[in-house]
Amino acid sequence: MGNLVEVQDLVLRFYTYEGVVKALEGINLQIKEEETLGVVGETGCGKTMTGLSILGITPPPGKIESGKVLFKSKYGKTLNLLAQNERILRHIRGSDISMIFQEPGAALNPVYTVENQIAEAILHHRRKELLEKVLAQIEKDGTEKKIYKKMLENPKSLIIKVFTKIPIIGRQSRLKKEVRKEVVNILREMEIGDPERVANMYPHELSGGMQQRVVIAMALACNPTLLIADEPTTSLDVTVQAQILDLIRRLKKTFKSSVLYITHDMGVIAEVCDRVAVMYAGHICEIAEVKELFRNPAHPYTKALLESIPKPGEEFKSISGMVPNLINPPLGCRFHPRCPFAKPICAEEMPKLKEVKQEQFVACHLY
Amino acid sequence: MSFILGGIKLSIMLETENLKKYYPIRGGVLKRKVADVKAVDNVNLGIIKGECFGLVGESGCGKTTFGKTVIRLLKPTAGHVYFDVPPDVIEQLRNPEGSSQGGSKLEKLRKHYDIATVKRKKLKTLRRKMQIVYQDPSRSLDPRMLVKDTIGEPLLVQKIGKKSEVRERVVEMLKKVGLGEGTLYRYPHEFSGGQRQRIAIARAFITNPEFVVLDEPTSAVDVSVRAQLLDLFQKLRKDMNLTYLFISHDLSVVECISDRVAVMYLGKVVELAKTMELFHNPLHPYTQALMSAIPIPDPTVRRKRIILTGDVPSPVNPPVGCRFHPRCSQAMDICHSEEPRLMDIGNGHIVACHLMSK
Amino acid sequence: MTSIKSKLAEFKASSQPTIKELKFIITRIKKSPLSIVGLAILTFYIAIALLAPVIAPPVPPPMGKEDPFIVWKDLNIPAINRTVPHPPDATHPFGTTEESYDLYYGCIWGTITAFKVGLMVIVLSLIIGLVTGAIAGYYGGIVDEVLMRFTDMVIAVPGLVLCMALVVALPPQFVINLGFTQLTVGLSKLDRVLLALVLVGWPSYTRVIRGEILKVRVEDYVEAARAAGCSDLRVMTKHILPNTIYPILIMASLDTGAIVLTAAALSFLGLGAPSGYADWGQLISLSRNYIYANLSNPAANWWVWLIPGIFIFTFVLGWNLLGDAFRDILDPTLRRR
Repeated sequence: MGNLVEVQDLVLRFYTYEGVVKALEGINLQIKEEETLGVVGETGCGKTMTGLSILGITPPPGKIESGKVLFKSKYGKTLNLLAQNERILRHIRGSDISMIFQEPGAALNPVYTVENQIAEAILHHRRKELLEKVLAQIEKDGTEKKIYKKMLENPKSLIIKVFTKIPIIGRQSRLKKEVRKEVVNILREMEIGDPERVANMYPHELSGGMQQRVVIAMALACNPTLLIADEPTTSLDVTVQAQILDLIRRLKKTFKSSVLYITHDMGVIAEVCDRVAVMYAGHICEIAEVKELFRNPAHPYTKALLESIPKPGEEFKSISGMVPNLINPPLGCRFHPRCPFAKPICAEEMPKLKEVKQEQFVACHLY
Repeated sequence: MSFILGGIKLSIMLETENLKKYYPIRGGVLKRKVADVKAVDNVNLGIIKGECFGLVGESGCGKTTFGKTVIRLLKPTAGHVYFDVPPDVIEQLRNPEGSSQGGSKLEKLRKHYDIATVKRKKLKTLRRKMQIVYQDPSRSLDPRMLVKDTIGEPLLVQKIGKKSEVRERVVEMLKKVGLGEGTLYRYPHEFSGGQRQRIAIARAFITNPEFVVLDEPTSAVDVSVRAQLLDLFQKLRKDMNLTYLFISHDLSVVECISDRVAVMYLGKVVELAKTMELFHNPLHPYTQALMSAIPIPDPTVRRKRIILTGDVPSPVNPPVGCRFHPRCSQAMDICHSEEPRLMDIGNGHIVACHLMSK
Repeated sequence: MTSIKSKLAEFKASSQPTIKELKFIITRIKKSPLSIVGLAILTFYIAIALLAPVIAPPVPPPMGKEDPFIVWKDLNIPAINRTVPHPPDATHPFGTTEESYDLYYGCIWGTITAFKVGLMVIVLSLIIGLVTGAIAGYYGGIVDEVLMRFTDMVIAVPGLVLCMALVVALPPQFVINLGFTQLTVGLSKLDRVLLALVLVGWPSYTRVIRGEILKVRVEDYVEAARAAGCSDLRVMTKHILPNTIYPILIMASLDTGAIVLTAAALSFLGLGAPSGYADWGQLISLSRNYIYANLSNPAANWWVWLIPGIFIFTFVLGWNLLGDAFRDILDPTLRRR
């Protein structure tokens, strides 16, 4: 499997009142096709920012200083997402790369029905496909067919735009029926019982788990090749989380998309991911296959993280010290003040990712 | 509820008897009460002095409401909450028929220990002994108050010690939670999540309480900080002789810190046992599903998952009979009509399920 | 020795947060040029108000009156010419109005009146609004209902109309019977205007603070304060109000300008300050017959309305800009950006 996304030397800085926050310092990641890459780390390590940078939606005052994000689009071309203009990025967002966030209630607009919101995504990206389907249905060569043909050929024509705004004549009922079929289909894929009823509901009428399913439906409606999931189950109950994780595992097989799964929960990583990247204070410490990571963690931070998971009957082990302030991060390896194996070189030089074993990369001077 | 663990008479920190907390839903033009949200419905729990009592359940089960009601941040709708009862008195309060005292003396005892209906002055002195630590420290600390004022406030309000001593006590408490003197003159937003939670802990513990409700104190912090906080809780419990009510939806954390655990569902207790017993031998189908849903940080273990159908129902119109029956894979006919009662299986393990009577 | 040293260290540490806040505020102000303009305007007016006795010394009777706030009339001008406004010249830098009131003196001392009216009305409205809004918001239930319906009633009446009615209706003095003695409180015409403006202005503060309190009341830190045993009053004053007062301050500074405008309008209509009083609206009203001079040159008597008009305009502008500056600085959600 080739690389779907390749992040090279990504540097992200935030210019705030208190100083320049060096959020991401030279991130190097690869996401292969049809794999689930987990990004795990603590609050403030930059995992969410990595996900947002790939899509180009980092909030101000953040600026991407340098780096490349090479993405293999659906058409086979490889693009550097950071060098594209907004128009092309808008084509890619939702259609090639989708993102789901932590709070499903906040991701859904409370004044639009579920159908409306999923339809928005579908109409934006798959309009041509649906119009062609509609045209194939109309037998008679009448005004209706002419209108749909015009919509297909020249989507930006002023006449069409004005016409569709007229209340009764500009109804586009055939198109709407097609869209509704698609919406119900995708809701059914999300294992929502009675998708017809749910499509007509408003977000506040749904529970947290259902809302998250709707958000996932919106994200997968256009068959993206990459799904970025930013802690999608953190705010849900544990039984609902189990349902959603199960769903995500099953959808991976159906939709054949890669998933970039961002979380701080090691248990979830063990359940869902194929490979894992461990991040600390804006740089990547270790990338390995999930079984290898849990069996033989190489980086001291990964080891400490796994040890600090509370186990019954044992003493609580924690990592001494605190997460550094990214305005003045420690020189060299950012973990060295808390590392039990620190050597003098760790305070001077930032280690680079090296392949220590087959498919296991570590950024540490011990290797 | 007369469940005495192992026959030993123990000093009870807190015991609830038929505790109810309902929230009325008003509708119609005249805003009459149309229904109740039965957040806590007839709960009988006893917390022993000195133990860490875990309370688990999902959102909507009423565990947070229970925690806030027993320390009188919310007023109970009905029922009794007995606080700090010596062993011989609790025996009498539980078995009123078999007691040697007369009816009116019993009433006096009840009134003395029942905190469900106490009023202002007595409540204020009680507050010294019961405290709470909230889940999200960025919301539980006043963003416009300096740390020293936040931590010192309970001392001022409860009139503990002289005004000149307040600063010393605050510094002493800060040291106990692992923070230095430099934190005194700063605002909460200048600290990380873990440090803020320590400040919240310092505020709660500064009055030397006897009973502390910990409402999901580690849910909003990172994994590595979680271990530090749990360590701190253990240390403080030993040093200050405290009793904890540890509320959480995170079973792995509860397993590590609690002595006994109760599971709540839709306002009722469905199972209660010693921690090891509960985690190794869960008997109620809901507990079993809950246990199986925890993601294990070990990719080689593939747990057999009991996936519950449907979502957590709302406590407004709970199902008739056993509240869990619509989602239970082992539901029988009787579960649809009759509510199961809590039964003692032995070794302090209590379950409310019709399967147990088979 | 050590106690002094430690006390000094303590003082240094305790002033740190205030210093940091001040630094932050100054940086924000520097970033927004309009707030600097607003501050400059207001500083200028404060200077004028403070230096009024120096730059426009009161004129003794018979031209002036005992009260320095009554504008002096230039009796040196022969009586025939006195009713017509005279253009600016050496003795009258801003010219005169009808009846030869000196415009310069009026405008300078009018600054003090403007500050007096603006600040007093705002402070009193704030107090009433805060108390009612806080009680309504914190206690809720029937108390809230009653207070809010009463507030609604006051808002329902058009502001200016209610003001005018109150100014006319309020008595020139009223007697408070304390049982053993009687207190007679005299209300000058200006006092009646102030009182009317207060009675019309307080409801908007009530609503805003009630909304803010409803938001803050359910926060965890308020509940934590109650868990520590704080009384309602302490929770309100130490926890809720400091977190909710900022929108009110912004509203208040924006309102000060509006109040001064309303007072000027009332004065122009003759319902405000008494005739001859140093008040900008009054000054325009004094020459109302000469605002429109004649057909061929309508703006011939420009100084009569333009000069007090500029004072009113810039004063209100200064307060508005200050209000915007407050919003930029004090809004906690926009901070730290």
